[in-house]
Amino acid sequence: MCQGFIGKVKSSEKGLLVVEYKGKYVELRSNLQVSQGDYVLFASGIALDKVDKEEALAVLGASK
Amino acid sequence: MMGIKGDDARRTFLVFSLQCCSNPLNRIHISSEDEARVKKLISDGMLPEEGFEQRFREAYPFCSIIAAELGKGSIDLEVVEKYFYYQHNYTLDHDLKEGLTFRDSVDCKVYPGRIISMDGRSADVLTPVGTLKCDRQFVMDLPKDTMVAVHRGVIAKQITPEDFHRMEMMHRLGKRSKSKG
Repeated sequence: MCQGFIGKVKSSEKGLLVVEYKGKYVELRSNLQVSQGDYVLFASGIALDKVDKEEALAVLGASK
Repeated sequence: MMGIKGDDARRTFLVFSLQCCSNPLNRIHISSEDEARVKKLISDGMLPEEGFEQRFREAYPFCSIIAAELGKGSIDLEVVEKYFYYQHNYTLDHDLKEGLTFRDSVDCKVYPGRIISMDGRSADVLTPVGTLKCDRQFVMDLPKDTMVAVHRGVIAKQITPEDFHRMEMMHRLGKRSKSKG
């Protein structure tokens, strides 16, 4: 996993996140303190880390 | 944030991760100059400043999660090897199955192999996906027939026969489960 994916948090509840990635909704296991609208890095169904909005938008913009 | 404990663990983390500096999120934190500087340090048997590993925004948090799941307070060599030898390819396969891919998802896999010939800074390594021409800048002292782990065209490090066989087995099992659809 050299490169994770960045998704925008749609909902966060009891260790389960739903994020939007390229128009798809993806469910993730998570221990992160995040809220709706935050961006997270994820892979293999796990939320790995919170990502700053500016960084997230830069990466998402570059991958379009 | 959790740290990496021990020079062996730091070195192992870096010899696998340095191939991923150009990924968009990593590149925000690691310039091309830093990448060249740290590759030179590692090739010369040295390590960069403490904490450099945390700039790898994908591998580092994943290792932190594995360490926490194992009840460890820091990332040690066992965690780093678990991640790069096993979890890394599993994650790629999992995400590919979910339709999540990036530019070079397949090339990114870690393979076990055996050095079959050497020529200057490059070596031919026999792996489960055939013979790969690899850079051996981090392992110039390793002789022919050594069992190694290869990541993105670079020989990362020597591995034990146990890890070699386990990684080979994981590769075969992965292939079999894919062919069964």
